[in-house]
Amino acid sequence: MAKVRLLVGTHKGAFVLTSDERRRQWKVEGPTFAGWDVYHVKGSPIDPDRLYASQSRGWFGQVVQRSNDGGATWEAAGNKFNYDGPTNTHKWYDNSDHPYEFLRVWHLEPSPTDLDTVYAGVEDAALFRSTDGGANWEELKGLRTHPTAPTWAPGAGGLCLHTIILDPKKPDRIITAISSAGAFRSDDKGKTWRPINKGLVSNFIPDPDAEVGHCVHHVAMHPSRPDVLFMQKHWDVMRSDDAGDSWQEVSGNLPSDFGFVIDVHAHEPDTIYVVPIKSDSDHFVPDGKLRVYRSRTGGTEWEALTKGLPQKDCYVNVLRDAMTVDSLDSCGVYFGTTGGQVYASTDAGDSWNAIVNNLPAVLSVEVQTLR
Amino acid sequence: MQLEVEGEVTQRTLLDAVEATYPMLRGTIRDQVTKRRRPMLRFFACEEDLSDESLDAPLPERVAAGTEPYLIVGAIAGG
Repeated sequence: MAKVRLLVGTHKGAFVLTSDERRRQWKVEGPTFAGWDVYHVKGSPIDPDRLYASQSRGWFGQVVQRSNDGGATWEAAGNKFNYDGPTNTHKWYDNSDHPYEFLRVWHLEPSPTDLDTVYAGVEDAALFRSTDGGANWEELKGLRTHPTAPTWAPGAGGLCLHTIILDPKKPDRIITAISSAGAFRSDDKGKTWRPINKGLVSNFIPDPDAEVGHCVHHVAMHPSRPDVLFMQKHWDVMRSDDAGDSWQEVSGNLPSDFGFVIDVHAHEPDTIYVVPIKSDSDHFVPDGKLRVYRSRTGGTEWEALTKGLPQKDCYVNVLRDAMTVDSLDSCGVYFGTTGGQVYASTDAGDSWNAIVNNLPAVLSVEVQTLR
Repeated sequence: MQLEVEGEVTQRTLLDAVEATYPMLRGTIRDQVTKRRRPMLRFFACEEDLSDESLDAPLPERVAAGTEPYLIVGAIAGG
């Protein structure tokens, strides 16, 4: 029987939740790295027992942890994130020029083709790659040294590179997203980059044709159709059918098109999920109701999914890396909230159950389907 | 912890020895690249705050002799 393993990063440590393919009874283990922010935990698609975790805290900085046994034991990997060459400045909240400094790893993306290759998206925004299992990190500096980089300004969470998508059909293609600079694409393994933000509209940017400056919150893709991208932006849900060369709004009938997460059904490339959040100042679900919205048409037409989710007195947020889907035949969808709940659906969102209720604020959720 | 430090015992050589002996602590006391003290930690010895003192000044003899500790103290702040 297959198993499912959820890797949950929280504000005060990491948790591993495991179940069989029925996904009804769950074992909760943790907290590992107790007391630390664990921004992200993700496993290798090649060997699911190889896990990487980003552990960070203001006192002691960044530690990258690696496990070779599915999270039973961990060892500190390399944590030297040295920007390659002189660093420039980026804009600060008051529009002053602010020196680049490394603060933390937001997202770890293991390679689908090499066990020891893993990418890290960091704050202040840059992309790093390790080819030795996280022991050493090399910056792919073409992104940070893009001509527009001095104009990049941070979002409320910092100037972070939070999304890394490795194209399964074009091994030279990488897509990243930075808050709040926008989405970028490389077609030469990360050497050179170009902004892919045409069609995005952000009211806080005076220039309607601005190439960068958009606060992209998350981008998702189905591996069978990597040229189709879905984006949750700081307002607006967007879709591209040409790998980001152009975008169209697909917010449709959502009650609010502000949010952080977006994800795609494992077997239905046009079925996508978002969790609407009230507004950019009110980072909680609208009307006190936790509702996941699903579109089966790749956007525009959305239905609310509420069965098993609180519909009263609920004011949680769902952060950008905190939703994931498994690859079992009956696609499981999972998400974690800032209120410390992790919810699971075994029927593509028709109904939900809380796996666990009282974790620290959830920062990220990833799932592994173990066969 | 007790460490052997070769040569003159200064904050720099002492912290180098800490990191050489416990490599998992690299980057958690001093920035990995700049080697600057992390802002939410401070260094003390013999009832003095040495955080802003020269890293290359000799530490007190009692620290070098191992009879007084060198303290790395995290900010007492929650969150």
